Amino acid sequence: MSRIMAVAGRELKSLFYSPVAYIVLVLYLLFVGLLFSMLVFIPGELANPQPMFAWNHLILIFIVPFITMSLLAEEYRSGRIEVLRTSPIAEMEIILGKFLGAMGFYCVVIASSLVFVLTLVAFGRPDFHPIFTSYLGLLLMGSMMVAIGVFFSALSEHQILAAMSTCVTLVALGILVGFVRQLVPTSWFAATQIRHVLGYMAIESHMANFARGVVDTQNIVYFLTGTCLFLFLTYVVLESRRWR
Amino acid sequence: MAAAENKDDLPTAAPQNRMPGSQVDVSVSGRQRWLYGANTAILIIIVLAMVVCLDWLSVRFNYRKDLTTGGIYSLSPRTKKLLALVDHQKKRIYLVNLYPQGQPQGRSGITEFLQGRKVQQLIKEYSRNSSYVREFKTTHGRKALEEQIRARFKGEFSPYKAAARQFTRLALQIKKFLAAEAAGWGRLAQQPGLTAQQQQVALSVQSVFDGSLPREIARTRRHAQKALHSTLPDWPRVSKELSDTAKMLASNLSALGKPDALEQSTNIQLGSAITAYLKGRTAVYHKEIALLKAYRQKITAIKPLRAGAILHELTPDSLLVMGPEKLKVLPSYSLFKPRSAGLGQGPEYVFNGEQAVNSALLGMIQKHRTKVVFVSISPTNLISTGGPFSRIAAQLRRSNFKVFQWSPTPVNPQQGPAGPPPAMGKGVIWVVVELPPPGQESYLAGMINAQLESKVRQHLAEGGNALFLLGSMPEQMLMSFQGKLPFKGLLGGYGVRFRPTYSIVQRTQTSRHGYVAMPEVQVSTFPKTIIGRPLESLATLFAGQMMAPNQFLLAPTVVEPLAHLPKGTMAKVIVQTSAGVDTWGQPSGYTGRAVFQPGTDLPAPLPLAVMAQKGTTRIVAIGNVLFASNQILESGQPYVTGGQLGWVYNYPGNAELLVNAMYWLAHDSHLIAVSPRATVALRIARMSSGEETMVRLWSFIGPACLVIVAGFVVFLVRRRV
Amino acid sequence: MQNAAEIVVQRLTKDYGRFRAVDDINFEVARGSVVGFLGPNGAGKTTTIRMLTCYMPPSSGQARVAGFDVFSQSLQVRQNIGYLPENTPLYPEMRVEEYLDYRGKLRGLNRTARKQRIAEVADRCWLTDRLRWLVGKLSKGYRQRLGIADALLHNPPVLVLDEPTVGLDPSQIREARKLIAELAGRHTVLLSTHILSEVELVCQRVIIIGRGKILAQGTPDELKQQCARAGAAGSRLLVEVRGPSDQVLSAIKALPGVEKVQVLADGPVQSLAVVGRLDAQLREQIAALVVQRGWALREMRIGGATLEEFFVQITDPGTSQAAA
Repeated sequence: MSRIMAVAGRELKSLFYSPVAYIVLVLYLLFVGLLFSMLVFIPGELANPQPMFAWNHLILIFIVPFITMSLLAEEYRSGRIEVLRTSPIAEMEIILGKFLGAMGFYCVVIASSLVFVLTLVAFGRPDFHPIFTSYLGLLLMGSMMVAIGVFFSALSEHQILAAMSTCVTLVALGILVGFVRQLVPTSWFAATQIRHVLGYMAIESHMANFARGVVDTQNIVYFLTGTCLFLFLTYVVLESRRWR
Repeated sequence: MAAAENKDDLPTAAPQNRMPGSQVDVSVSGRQRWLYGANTAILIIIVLAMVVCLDWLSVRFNYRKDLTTGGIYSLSPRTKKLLALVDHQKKRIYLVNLYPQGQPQGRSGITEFLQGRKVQQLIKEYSRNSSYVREFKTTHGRKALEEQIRARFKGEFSPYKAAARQFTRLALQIKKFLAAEAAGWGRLAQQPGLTAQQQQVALSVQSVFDGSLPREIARTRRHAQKALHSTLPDWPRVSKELSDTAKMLASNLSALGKPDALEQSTNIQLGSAITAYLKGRTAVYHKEIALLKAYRQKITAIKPLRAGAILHELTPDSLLVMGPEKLKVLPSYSLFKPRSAGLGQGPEYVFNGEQAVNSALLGMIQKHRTKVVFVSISPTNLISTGGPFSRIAAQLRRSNFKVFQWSPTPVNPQQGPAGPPPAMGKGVIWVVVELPPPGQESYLAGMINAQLESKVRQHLAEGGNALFLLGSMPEQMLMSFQGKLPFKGLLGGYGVRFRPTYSIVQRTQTSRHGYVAMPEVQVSTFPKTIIGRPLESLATLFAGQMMAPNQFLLAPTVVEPLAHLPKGTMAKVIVQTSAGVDTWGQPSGYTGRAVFQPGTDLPAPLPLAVMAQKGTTRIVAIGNVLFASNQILESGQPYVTGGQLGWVYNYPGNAELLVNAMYWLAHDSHLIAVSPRATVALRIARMSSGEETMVRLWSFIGPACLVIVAGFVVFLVRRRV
Repeated sequence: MQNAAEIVVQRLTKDYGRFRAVDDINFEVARGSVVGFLGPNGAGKTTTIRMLTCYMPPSSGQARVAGFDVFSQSLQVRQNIGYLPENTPLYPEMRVEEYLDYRGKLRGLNRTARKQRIAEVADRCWLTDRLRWLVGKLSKGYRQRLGIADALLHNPPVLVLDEPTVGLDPSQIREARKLIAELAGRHTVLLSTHILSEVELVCQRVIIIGRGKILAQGTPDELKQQCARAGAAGSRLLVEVRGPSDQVLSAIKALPGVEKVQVLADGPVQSLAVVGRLDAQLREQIAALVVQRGWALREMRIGGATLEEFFVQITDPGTSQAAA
């Protein structure tokens, strides 16, 4: 555990030492600031931050790849992976450490949106329970996104390639699936089932409940199994590098 | 030294204990890689299967918790009780979302889309909480839906079918009669002693009985037969034809059967023979005519088909509730009620879906309808269109009540005293309007009120329940009672006290420095009672009229539980004014400044309505006559959205409170409608546009700039050794 | 057993697809010794080392480090090994002390132990004045020192250093060698290199590897002797003569008993290696020839075996057959 935390801590610190972290934070704050001032902060209207959280995934889809791209890809490229893997630390510990480090930074990113919540509190009183569940949802959604990022970072030696493939996957899961779902012709065999499955795969549909203030085990299980699946795949990739 | 060690080590034979299994398997590495790969592939498949399994289970057996304060996304406990009732009665009920599915089209489509989503969520919640309420997906196609609707109205067609069948029997009988009559007229024509003209008349009548009438009957009968054997006949048309034919036959018979009518129409002296014949046949003719008339009446009594009307009503943007026998279309204006968001603002829509669906469900599972009688000293119209309580009466009807009105005052004193009340005693609710309703102040309260009171007393004694709309009284009226206020004793028996000598007023600014005390009190806080609690977010108004400064009519008055409740009674405050010096109870006749006067005035908070119970008898007393009148219920502003004119109601709470009270009085408190849920969130404070821009600018640029600064600081710190 | 082998390698083989990088090698390294692992580039040094440090598993065969199997007890092996990979990959954005602290955490050292060990290794690797520096700003020499400091941090019984002196300037190389020499006795060191002088200076034993196979092993002296023995069988005579080059060459070639003449250095003064029947008679004949022709004989000696020559000889594909 202490080794996991050591790796996580190092990743987190490193992220903050690189300009990427600040660019990511600025992008995020600009986007959420836009959402906030356009959709949430309307004097005379109810203080309801829901739109801010419900549309958060649109920017996170593009931010998470930048957080995760260097995690393993850079280790491969620089050869530090050799130092890491000859240290007394198990593969899973490396992966979890990297994952938690990125999650730590992700938490900082989403926590930065608290600025807007505070602004909202200063001028009106929102219901705090949905805000709490929104952050819970963002955390769970982020864990899945970061796990996907870690996976693609383990696949490639090039950060940019890792970032791009993560981004494509996240866009597919977060945006495209919803559209494709509409395009499935009803004449197809089992069209409704296909639509159901596609709808289930969409990240956005699972975040919506949290943003509203409703916690559903179904959504939690989706994000957690997604996270575990991609961390497991990362493990397989890392492990396979030994014998491939 | 080192060299010596090395020499010792040189022998290649390693210590055996260190290397167990000296025989090392040197396998072909390609095979090894293949094995590793296959292993990994199997592992991935297993894990994937596990993930799919887990996710499937989580969808199948999910647990959901609505964590919003007030649970605005879950059904209220009362709705759940209602659904339990539906399940208990095993009535399959379908909910159909007719909002357009899929992505919104254009900017105006967004509202629609969002509303549709809300409706969808609501339907999901209903089907989640009941095993008999299901969603009927419109994706199956409109045709499937129409078939469903027709199938549901199968029973509706049976009277039509019966009528058609009956017509074939009737036709046979009438044909026989016609044939006999034709023969009769034929014989008559052969009789000697008839003039040529008379003979002509007889022959032409014979031809009518012989030819045109049977032809008509045969044709109609053919149509009836055809309708009986086709799947979806146009019953309204067929029934009209049946009725028309019967009418035609009857009128023919009556024209031909009466000598004078016949004489008049032909303009010929019929002569004794024909007249005698007709006289002998009158009874037979009358019998046939009566038969036809009865048949016609039966047809017109058949209820018009509702399936057609429902299909016509199936517009997009509505929710359809399909019960086993009933159907109800909930249009978007009943699902989303516009509510004033304040001056100069567009309306905000309150999602009223749960309530609308509940009342539809209620109508489907509850056959019994509680009777409500509006009782007042004024005999004029209270509850039909134009009456002061027509709006609330309509709402009560929608909520499955039967509404009547009664007054002890006769409408026309010359015709004697008023009739008995349409309903009283057990299971009936009386709404007692204590003072003459607005516009009918001419009715003096004094004597008749005593009569009313005794009737109410009797009603309660027989196990009935009652709601009282009380008000403050002008001085002269108070004097007319000579200290014996009507209902005072009655209400006191239930632990309720009302003080009509006080009008509740609120200080309102009229000009820059001018204040006036207006008998208008808006309430938004409710003590936690079963009736008042669901209203917390709804604006509710208690109001009277101001005739002159400090001269009020029908102003709100204080209604409170007695300090010492009589034995076996329960009384609780439902509504009270908020505390503060801006609201107070002012004695009548007072003409001072619009300021709270300690000593003479009653300080806030003042209770405005009380619910009370003694045994099984329940009463609710509300200290305002205008509370449920159209005057308040209709108050609102027009607004325009999407090119359409709408109306925003200012005080949706009033009707809610009254209907809730009705349910409680009907001992159906589990049906108390759920108020539109709203978040506990407060509005963002209004500010000048300058301030607004500042906040926007700050939230857009501020945090980002801070992060850039932080990044720069970190960069500088890291550079330092 | 006091002098137990710290590293035992048995029939170790590694295949990359169809290419066999390491082919069935066996060797042992005694506790406390410094062993040079010598071979030209691509000989399988790094592959062997990577298998020993558990970076990759062997295709077949076994290896034990500090008594633990590299395949089944990988974690214990890694705990007991300090490894300096080729090129010393580091995190440039960290400070030196941060990096060492992080590495200490990975090795499971607690806070006080870390503090103490960092001070110790920094002192030992002359890094104390660079502790606050960013790794990315260190010179190549300091980075190498940091790598060694990292390998030493948890005081492991076994050190594996892959090309520790590559890219250093001469004085840095000297320092590095001094440091490695100091480590002997306390640690078992496996030093991979392709620089012979380094091996001669610091190693007690040498393992020479080429094309995936062990070509020779022993102490440097032993190898030299081996080399000399090879020389006795058909050795060579080093002659340095001043004279016209073509004449000198042809004249010496013409002498009886001379099989081959190699020109080691050309110019006014030629340095020649004469291979043939190297008895006293030939030497006298050469001396006589030079004097007779009026050239100047500067030096003449029987070619002593250097490790370098031996190395070149056995790793050269043309001669390896003879050496094996």
